[in-house]
Amino acid sequence: MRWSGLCLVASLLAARPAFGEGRRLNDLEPQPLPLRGCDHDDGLRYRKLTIPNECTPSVLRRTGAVAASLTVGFLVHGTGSYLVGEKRTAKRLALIEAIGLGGMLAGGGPIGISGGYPPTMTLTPVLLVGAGMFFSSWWADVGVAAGASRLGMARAAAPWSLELATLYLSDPYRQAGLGRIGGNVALGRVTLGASLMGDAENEIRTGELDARVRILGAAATGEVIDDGSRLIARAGLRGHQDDGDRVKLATGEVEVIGRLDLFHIDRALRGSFVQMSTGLGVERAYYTGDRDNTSLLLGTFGWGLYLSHHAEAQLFYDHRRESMVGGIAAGRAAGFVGSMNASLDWMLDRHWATHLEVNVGTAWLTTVGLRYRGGIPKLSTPAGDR
Amino acid sequence: MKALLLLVLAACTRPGEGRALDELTVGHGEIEFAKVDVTEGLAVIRELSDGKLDLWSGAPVLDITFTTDAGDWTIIARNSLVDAVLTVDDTVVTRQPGDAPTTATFQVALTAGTHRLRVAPPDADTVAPFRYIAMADIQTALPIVDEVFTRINEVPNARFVAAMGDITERGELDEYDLFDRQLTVLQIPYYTTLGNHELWGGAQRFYDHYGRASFHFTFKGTAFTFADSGDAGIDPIVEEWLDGWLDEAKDQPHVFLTHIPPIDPVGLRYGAFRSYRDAHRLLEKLARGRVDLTLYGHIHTLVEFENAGIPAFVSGGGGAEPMKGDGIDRHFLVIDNDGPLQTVEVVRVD
Repeated sequence: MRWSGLCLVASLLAARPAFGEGRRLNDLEPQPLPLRGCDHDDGLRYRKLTIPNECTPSVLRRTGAVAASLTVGFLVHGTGSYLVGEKRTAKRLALIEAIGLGGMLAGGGPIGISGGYPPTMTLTPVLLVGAGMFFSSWWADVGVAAGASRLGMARAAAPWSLELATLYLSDPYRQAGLGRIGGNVALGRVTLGASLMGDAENEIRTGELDARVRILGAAATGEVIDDGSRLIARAGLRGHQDDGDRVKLATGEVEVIGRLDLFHIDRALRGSFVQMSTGLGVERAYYTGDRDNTSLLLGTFGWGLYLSHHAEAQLFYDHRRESMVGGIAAGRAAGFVGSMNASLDWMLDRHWATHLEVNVGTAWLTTVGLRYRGGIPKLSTPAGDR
Repeated sequence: MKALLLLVLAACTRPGEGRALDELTVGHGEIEFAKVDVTEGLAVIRELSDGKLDLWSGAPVLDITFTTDAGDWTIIARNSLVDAVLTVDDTVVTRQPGDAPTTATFQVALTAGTHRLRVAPPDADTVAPFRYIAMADIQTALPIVDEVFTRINEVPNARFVAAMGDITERGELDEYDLFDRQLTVLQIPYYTTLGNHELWGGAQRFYDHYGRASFHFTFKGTAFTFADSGDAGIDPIVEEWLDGWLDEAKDQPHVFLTHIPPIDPVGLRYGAFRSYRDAHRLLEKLARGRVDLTLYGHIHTLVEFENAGIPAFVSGGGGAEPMKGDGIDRHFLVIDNDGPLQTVEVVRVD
């Protein structure tokens, strides 16, 4: 019954195209020809991003489109975009969904059919990338339906940065407040990072070293950039000691991280991006009288938005199980599923930024950080754009 | 939609908490003129009525506190060792003839008051080697699991089956009923924890049929600890019980059984606990508690490995859809227990 109702609402919305709704121009006047549907190329780098009224769907339509994208749209990606008049975007998102489903089947099929036969595990990255395309295109569709895209532009990482963060860990076994200090410095294409984290009782201590090589993408200038797409290779080392758990862990990992600004897919998706990563790690655990090594599969996929050129928000899935939060208690899929996460980076001014992040797995981890971005040229954007 | 559902589910970081609390009601029952308390909840009361107490045993030894008015009672201990006898306040009562090997029926006349009952084989407290069977993951093979049981019956001197869960595919009542019928083929008792598939129909169905999912008993000097990891983790309440059981059995041979391996021996497959931090903490506890053997299911294959220096087996050969490509189908483990030395032999059914 619920699904029937949703389908009916979606059908009614679809039967009445969004384009033209809310037009204020006299029908006798020459109509401005849209580039495609409601697409308008903002073109200029720092121009305010606005959409003419005649192409703005009503609040009711947007609400219906969002509702449809969250329900029916889970199965048919692009539903929300279609209902707000972005038909080309809808088709492209549906295509990405289809490719993602194909990847999930190609990667997950042999794993599932074989019951997890170890050689089939090499297909897990295909499964993760497929799942990434599937979920990212869904989230992007919700974003288009909600009018959340086109809000902003990317900003490159700063040449160097320092961050101080406070974290709150709530897991089934304890609550803990933690502090973290870390920093990054970009040396050409290579960015080196380090961080230390500990709790007030000094029971939990974690240290990380990180090296990233920028293969593609803008240099770390801290400036607003046209395209935030990038490809990065990362290697990291982590040591973790937990006196409460009486466990000591050492981890080494390598991964490839890619981000694609979605205007490459469709102009209506300008201001949003997808980010995916995959890699491998080795973890050594030290127990009473013994130690074990285990392999780790790293994988993330997420969808995000640039908000003005001051901030970016991201919703992402992380396949890790060895993190502070572990995987979510996902009912029948518990154990096979990682964590769900959301982050927001917001620039307070040219140098200071906040970092907010929530990670939800077996535990909840909330992070509030303050970051100083150094090495940024004095005038990174025209004054009028502030 | 599913992703939203997952997010909602994620809001609950302790899905096992309610189950752990529910377990505490197992083995305790009361009617107008009788009250039964099975120590540690090691049996589920299937019927308590006028003159009849029907129990399903979850362990080889049951200690029962039974308060009643004077009267004649039929006490049935199902899933018992074949040589189990009933002791009522130091008086041994022999079982009635004619029952299935694992069903022990006793007729007793009780005076009004509180009585100490014990259902156990005569050698339960004698420290000596013995043999038992381990298996897991029956699921869709429930209709043909009698074939596995027939093979187990052929193993000489096996005292009981210790199982690591996933009896059913969907936790449906008719699956439990079918398993009850299949168990009539097996000539030794079947002690088991639950698996993730039992949770599909709700854990209460499991408790109603087979009792607790997290429990501990000692047989012939060896401790056995079963822990509920059905949602890929162990609830803090169960972990607290585990702390006590590990401490209690520190100087004994100790076997630990749970459905899902804390760490998958093929690490990146993640057929394991949902949090590796929790997994490492558990393994450290088992190592400190000097556990001698860990037995897991969940992955439908056979793997011998070590975790935290403790010998470990994943044995998911009860008949559930087997892993393809590894050449391992239905099987079970025959374990000869000689103190801390556990000799494991694999018996293939197919």
